[in-house]
Amino acid sequence: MTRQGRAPFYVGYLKTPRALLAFLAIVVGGVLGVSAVLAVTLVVAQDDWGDAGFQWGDGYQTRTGILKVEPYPVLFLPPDAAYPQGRAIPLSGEGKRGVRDKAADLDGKPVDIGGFLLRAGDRDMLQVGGEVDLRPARDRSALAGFSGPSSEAVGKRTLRGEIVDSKCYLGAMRPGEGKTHKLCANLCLIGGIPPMFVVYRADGPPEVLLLADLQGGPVTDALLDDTARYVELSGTVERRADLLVFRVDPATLKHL
Amino acid sequence: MSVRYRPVQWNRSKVVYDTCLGVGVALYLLIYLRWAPGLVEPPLIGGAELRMRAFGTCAFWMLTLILCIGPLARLDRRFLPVLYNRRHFGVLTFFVAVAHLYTVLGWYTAFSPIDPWVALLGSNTDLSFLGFPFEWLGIAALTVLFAMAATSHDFWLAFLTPPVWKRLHMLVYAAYGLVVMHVTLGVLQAEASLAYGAMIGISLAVVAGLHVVAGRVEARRDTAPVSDADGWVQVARIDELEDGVGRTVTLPGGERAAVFRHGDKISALSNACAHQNGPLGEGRILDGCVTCPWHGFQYDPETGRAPAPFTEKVATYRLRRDGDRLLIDPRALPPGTRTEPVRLAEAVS
Repeated sequence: MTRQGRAPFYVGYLKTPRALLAFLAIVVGGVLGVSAVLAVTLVVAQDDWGDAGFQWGDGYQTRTGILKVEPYPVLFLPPDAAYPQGRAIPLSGEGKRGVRDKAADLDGKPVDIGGFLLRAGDRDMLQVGGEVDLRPARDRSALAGFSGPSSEAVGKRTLRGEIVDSKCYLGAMRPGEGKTHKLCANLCLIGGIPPMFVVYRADGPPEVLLLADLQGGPVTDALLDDTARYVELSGTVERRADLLVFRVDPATLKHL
Repeated sequence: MSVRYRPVQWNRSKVVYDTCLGVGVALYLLIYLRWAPGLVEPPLIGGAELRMRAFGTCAFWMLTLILCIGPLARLDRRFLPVLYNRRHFGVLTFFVAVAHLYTVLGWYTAFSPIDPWVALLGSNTDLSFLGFPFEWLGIAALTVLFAMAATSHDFWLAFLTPPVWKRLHMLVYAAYGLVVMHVTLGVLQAEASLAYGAMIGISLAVVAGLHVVAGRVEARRDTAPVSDADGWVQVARIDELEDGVGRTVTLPGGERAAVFRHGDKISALSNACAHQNGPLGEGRILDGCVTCPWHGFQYDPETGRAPAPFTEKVATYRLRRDGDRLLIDPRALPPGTRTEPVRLAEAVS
């Protein structure tokens, strides 16, 4: 017969039996130890979401170029030695807002733009704001007659990738893609941030294309249900400066 | 036990318990947010995202531990001190989960003209399985945790009655299921790392495994009742009863009674404590009272009443001896009914 009466009996409002203290110390120490290991493991083992981010260290930046509003506001800089095709810088407002409203009257015109850069890989975006903000260019001489990029057709394409909001993907958030970020991505897109299509490649960095509808206009509303999913889209690709624009038919979208 | 309600009836055990909880949560968050990111250069994810994951994984880890306490205490009574203040553990888990939600609202739904709650609940409209708005599952789990935290005080236990309160707090299993799906359809869809999947898998295996093992052990303890012709059930041989230590008897219909030898007398009362249905039969006699092993609620073994000025009471049972056998009438008497104890001197004579 077991002698239960000899086992220590714990009552919370009485002094804890000495025989239990050592056991409880081991339990508490064990749980704290496992907690520490768990915390380290979950941080160290998570995916690396790259080095995209705001370029706060570069300070406030100003650029002068040609503004194009469709499908989404993009600033085009004239070609130079580093970018012989010219340079495209998609634009966002502060927070989860685009700049379509303030850009509408300046479509196709020379503009000065000020703000802070975001960068992922070799793709820049400018968050417009501050003293210069978005205004007609005060000194057009830097453009040297540049009037904007020509569109060069690349061809019909069926691509597989993820629909993202360009601002978060290019560095406002890390990760700025995937299911956990879908809520934020949709808010950004609803707010007017340009959507982009990210084609992941096994042999190199992802290819990033600005999305448009078949007519070259905005396509946000038709894609909101399908952000942050791995999908297939068909359409035509064209090049504007160093930016690829993917004109898609949302009806061709397939979940993969 | 208390005759009036206080926010918290502090005692040394609760202070130590809560200190351990606070140290544990602080340690986890400090390591997750301050120390561990320095081990990978540059940090793998953004600061706000790191805070979301720190609070989220901490709450999940705490919920896992909470669900392990019950079966562990059934398997080994030395875990009962961990059970004693489990409600504070649950309330703290709720607040850590709220911190997780707060970081989400302060980042993913911030900087937008749309109301954060509208954004949280309405931005994802993909209702396919893998695309399902996992945020809804998290909110549902947090709602359950809120209901439990808000009703954790003994006032609500008395107001709702123990059976209703117990049922409400059993929803912790629903909350756990919702959190598992929240993580599975959320971060597991975004992270290729095996760490988060392993965390969920191990948690599920441990929680489910402990419950199955504890259930089997419990079932083995439940010996089939042996009844006499008149329906009275055999408890034990008189000389098997240890002074001051309870014995649990399973009655026809599945009810359980707790039988205690206290000095030269033997009495029986319901096995379910009036406080939280704690197993009185696993308790002891302290200061002449049956004492519940969970929270120390006490009852007079002959009346089933808590000593004055306390008012709790449990059902009692009649006992009789048959030679060296002790028998119990399986028909419970109304809570607080005095019964004549079986005298040990008579029994062994």
